[in-house]
Amino acid sequence: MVRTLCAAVFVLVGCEGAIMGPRVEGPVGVDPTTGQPTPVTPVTPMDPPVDPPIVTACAPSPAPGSAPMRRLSHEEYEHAIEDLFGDAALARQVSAGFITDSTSLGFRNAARFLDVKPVMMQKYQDAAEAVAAQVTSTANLPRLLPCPTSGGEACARQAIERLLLRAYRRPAPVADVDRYVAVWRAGSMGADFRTGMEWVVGAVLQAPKFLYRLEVDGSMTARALGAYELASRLSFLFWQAGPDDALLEAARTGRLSTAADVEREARRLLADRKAERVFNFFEQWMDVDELDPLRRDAMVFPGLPATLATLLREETRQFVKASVLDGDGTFETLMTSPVTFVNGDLARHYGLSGITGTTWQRTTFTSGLRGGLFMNSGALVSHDKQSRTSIVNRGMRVRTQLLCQTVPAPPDDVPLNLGAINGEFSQADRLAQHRTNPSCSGCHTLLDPLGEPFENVDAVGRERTMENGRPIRTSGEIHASRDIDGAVSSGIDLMRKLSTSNEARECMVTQLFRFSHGRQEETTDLCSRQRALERFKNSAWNVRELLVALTQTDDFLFKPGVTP
Amino acid sequence: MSAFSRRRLLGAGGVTVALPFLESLLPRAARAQASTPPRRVIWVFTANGDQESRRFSTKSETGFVLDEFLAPYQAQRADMLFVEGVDKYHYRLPAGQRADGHQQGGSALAPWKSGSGSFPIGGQTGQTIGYVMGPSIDRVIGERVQAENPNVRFTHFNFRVGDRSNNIWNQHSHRGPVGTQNPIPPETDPFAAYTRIFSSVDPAAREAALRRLRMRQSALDVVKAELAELGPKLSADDKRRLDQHTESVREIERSLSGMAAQVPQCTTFATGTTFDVYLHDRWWDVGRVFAKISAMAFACDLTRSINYNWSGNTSDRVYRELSFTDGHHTISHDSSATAFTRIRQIIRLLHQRTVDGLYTELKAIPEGNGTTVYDNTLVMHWSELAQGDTHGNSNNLVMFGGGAKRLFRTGRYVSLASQQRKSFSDLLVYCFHYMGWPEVTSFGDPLLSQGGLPPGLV
Repeated sequence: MVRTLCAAVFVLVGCEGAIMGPRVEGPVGVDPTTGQPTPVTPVTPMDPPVDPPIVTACAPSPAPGSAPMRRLSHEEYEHAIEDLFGDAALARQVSAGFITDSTSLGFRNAARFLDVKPVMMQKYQDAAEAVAAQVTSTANLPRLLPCPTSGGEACARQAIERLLLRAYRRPAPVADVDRYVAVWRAGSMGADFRTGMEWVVGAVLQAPKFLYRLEVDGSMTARALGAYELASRLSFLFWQAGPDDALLEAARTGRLSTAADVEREARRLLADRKAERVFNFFEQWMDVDELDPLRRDAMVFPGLPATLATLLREETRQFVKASVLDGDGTFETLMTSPVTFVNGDLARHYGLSGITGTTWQRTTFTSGLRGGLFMNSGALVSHDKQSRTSIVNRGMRVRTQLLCQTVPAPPDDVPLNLGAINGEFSQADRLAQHRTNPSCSGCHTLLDPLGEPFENVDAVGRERTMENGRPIRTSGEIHASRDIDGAVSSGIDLMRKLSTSNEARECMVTQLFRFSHGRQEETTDLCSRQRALERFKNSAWNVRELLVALTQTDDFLFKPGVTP
Repeated sequence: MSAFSRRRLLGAGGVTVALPFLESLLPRAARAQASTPPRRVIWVFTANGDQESRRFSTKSETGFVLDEFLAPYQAQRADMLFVEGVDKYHYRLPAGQRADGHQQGGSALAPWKSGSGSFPIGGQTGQTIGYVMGPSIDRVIGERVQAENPNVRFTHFNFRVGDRSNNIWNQHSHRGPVGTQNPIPPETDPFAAYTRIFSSVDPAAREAALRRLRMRQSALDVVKAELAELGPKLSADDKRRLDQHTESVREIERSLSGMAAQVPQCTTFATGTTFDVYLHDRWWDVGRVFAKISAMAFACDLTRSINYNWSGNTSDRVYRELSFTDGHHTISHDSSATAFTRIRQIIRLLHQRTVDGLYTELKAIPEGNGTTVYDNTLVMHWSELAQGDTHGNSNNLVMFGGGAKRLFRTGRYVSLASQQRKSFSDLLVYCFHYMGWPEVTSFGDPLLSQGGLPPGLV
């Protein structure tokens, strides 16, 4: 989520974007007389406010926040190709070279940054041509066709109508079909039926109506979404791809017109194997997607598996599946469960005996030192250094990703020296020394004590009790939270406190809202987020129910007016 | 010389990528040989600043002595202008509209306020921070070039060595327009960039190539029809993104028209055997291939504006070749003498590789009248910070090389420290002047400008 976390930050403030967050402000500023940045005085966090009622912001009529047009994220593109043509390897292959989209609030699916610049346009062109050649090969073409090629243009028309229904995620108007029939004619002229279809598929996969999730079926005023629009929202939320035939049929037959219809389909989609793709949210939230390549110093960590990043990602994927989709689904389990999954290679890396082979097996960290999503190796070490852990980065990510708080910029032109790490002092010792400097303690008091509790997991995800011959210290302290301030004894202790924190629960709602809507939260969608939070609470903080709850909000069921 | 199709070359996997016959290229190449070569600019980025006190062992206008980490430029010091005391003036931006020194400094080629809504670190008073809200100079110059020279196929290139992920720390090129967050993710795979930029047609398979061209145009016709149909149904923001998509289509179409053209051969070069471009061990090789591409693209007049980055800002690459175990950014926040020794070694290595790579490639391509591409290309060296351990941003070092002498009085050291006009964004204005647009007097947010060109440079 955060590629590189600045090592020197002076003041921490609460997240205005949070539903009910505190704000702690410190004087970062400019000297009015000199125009130069001023050093910063440490701040004392404010006492957390009492929680306000959950639902306070709902207007009588729906008032959804903005709904920007969304280009398919690269993951959505890949899954869409996979679902359209039933070839996951091909889908992965053609999208592998796409230019990585700009990260926003930790996610790579922010609508405003999903555009088609020239380089990406050419990537789409290359991918479309590669897919088209493959799926219209002599061997594969029959799967695209509902009729024999001897039917000529009439058959091509049928095939185009069927393809567009799935690719455009709605029935294509005649004008669109005609346009592609013309493409087929041009392609087949002087060639053959197959070539015509290759041209068609190549064009469809570059078309804006495929590449963008369009919601232009109705008027430009504020309105309820149409059935096909809802079908797309549902399928992209749970499957990261377009609707299946059943969902399209529900839309066609009027069985996707009420909130109850939407909930029914949401639960169907959530129960499907393709719902495992919701891992895409968790891995971006936790930065597991940024593990590869996992660079570590071979002198410090000799003999690491060459595929360690892949192993750690799969471990987290299995953990999310087990805790959210297959298990009890509670936030507490997600945050604290000691269950994990290993195959032979990862078991050997962890020093676990009795597990061999390539099959992934469920096991449990029995040390009592770790548990939960954030303490999954893939999440915890994603921003560690090549030779060591990063206490600052780990603490920062608890602050920003699990509590949704923000951290201001350090000023320019002031000493930000963190000093060297060497064998004489541990990283924790160095940071403790650092906090004796008044100009540094304001920040590091708020970050380091959230990172130090995780020191019993090293930079490659293995448990440890000693570092450089000295016992690891895992005590820490939570400052500037709304409801869990106080000392913690270890990483798992911190995670248990977070699992009971309303601030952390709300943060999960916020993060999921950002991911599912492709944008930052807004004042206008406060009601939707609070409604989702309310259902989350009423379900005993069940993450599956939170996913369903998101589909029952004004922001999911309605869209605002469009100002050209 | 044998000819190879792009597909044949790429289809072999793990083979040398080479396009010996570049028939797709440059209507201008032959013309460039016979007339005055066009001017170009390339911005070369190195991360985390340097050590301000160790740039020069002697500071005087012409008798200056390059210290340790600038020594790689000794051979071409006569071509260069070394300017220090350059201030980025970020502190003038309102609170909440500036990111931290790395982030805002990394956007110095796009000297605009930062927006909000993208990152939890770097904002103010509880707010998130965002990308800068305006275009970078490489984009603006590229647009101006194309407005005057429609045959120049690509607006600009944006290359970065290193990781694939893109965020506020590592994107230095921005599309704009002013008021809009619109970062341009860089190309990080030089092999993919090469095939994209130098796409060719095997003349032995000309008919197949023309069919491919017709197929592509057919698809683009669909795309254009849909873009036109959707535009009126969208919000202004969505429409803006769709317009950008339309512009991308036009760029592809320009390439297609080139595919069909019977044009003189430009030149040939091999990019070398393909490899995993994200391995840190191949860092220099990636930079070298990007340097080759840059030089040849200039020579072929495919573009006149390139944003070339050795990394993103805040780079924490571990320089194992120097026996270091901590990353660059980590070391830069250590004020000890040992740490600064390492910083100097890192920066020297980066500059040495720039000379060995980019400078060598630029000098290797003759352009007539005894000049090379190097002589007609302004190289501007910059970093996001002046010095890392303080996030110093008021004493930046900027170096101009290559064809700098066509504008600047080179072979000199100039300190702007005591000058009234020493703004980084004002310094960028010289790039417009170099390109032949002296009417440009400012670039970027007025808060970052001192209202005039830094003196004593030309």
